Amino acid sequence: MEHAAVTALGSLVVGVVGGTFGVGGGIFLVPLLVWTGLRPVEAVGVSLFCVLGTSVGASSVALKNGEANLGLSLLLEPFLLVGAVGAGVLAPHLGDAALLYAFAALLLLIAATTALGGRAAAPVAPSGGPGVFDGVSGGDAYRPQRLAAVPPTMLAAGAAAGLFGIGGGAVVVPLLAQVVRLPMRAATATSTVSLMVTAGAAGAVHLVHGTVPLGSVAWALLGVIPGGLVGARLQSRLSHRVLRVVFALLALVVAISVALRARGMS
Amino acid sequence: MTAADKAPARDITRIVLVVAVCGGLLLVVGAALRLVGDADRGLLSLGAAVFLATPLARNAAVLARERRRPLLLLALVGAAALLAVYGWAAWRLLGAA
Repeated sequence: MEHAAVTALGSLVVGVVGGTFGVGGGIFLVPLLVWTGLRPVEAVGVSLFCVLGTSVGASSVALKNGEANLGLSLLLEPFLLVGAVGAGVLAPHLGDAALLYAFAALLLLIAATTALGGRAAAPVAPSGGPGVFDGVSGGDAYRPQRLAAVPPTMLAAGAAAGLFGIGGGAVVVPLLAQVVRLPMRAATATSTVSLMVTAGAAGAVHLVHGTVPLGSVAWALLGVIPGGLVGARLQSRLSHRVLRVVFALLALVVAISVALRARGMS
Repeated sequence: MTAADKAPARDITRIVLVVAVCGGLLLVVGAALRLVGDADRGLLSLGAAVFLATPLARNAAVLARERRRPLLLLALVGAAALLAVYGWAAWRLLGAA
């Protein structure tokens, strides 16, 4: 009973934080679940189910308002899936401490890239005939560029998702905005839609390995989904600059705490 | 985006939400029953299976509603890849049971 209450309440907080910063919440949920007593690989399994839940909620909005580029999302998904399944097979064979150290390194990387920021590349308007992946964002039409960069980067993003139980948006969104040159809102929306497949496939692999405590999944879902909805409302009230600084600091603090936890395990 | 363009997206969204909510509810009810009593894992496992079927339901909805051939092909490839993973998972889980 105590574990269920702590997981639900903690996940609610994680959902609010994740929704506020526009991330799936996996990067904060995995440390929380480890703190509640789950093994790191079990925390990853539970987090993948929660990423699937938050992706369903957010993508319903993204598809309805037309910001998500469904065609591009369908192109990304097979590569994300292969990366996620490969990492999902590997994850249970890693030691607990090794997984946590790698997770801390990923958090540091995310904190650094968020803090340094960078201006999104300008979208390119379609020219000539209609393109398969053309989209519209904020009333302006755009055409995705450099699609050859999609396979290797999506394999890496999928692997990060399957290994660490994160959505992979931290990798997918910058790629879509900087390289494929999608408008930022379209990049976030398209990434959100794609993560459903990544989390589903990696979640199934973790289920096979017996590393998904389904009771914890239920309690975490109860917290993380309403929390995410509250966080998404908060996001629009805070400045982008403040959000970026706070998110980077929070990721840094969580990275240090995860590394200390890993040190205690090794 | 025209109303005609939005219709498939609306249908896809509806199907995805229904499958995910059903799976989520089964999971929560299964977890609650296990918490208060001595229920077995059947409902939890069923909930997990339905919940995981969400992306597959989305691809099925795209296949049913989309008219652009390249997107149909991509949805078909995605659905086949997911079916392969889920089929392997079901085979392993049912084999172990």
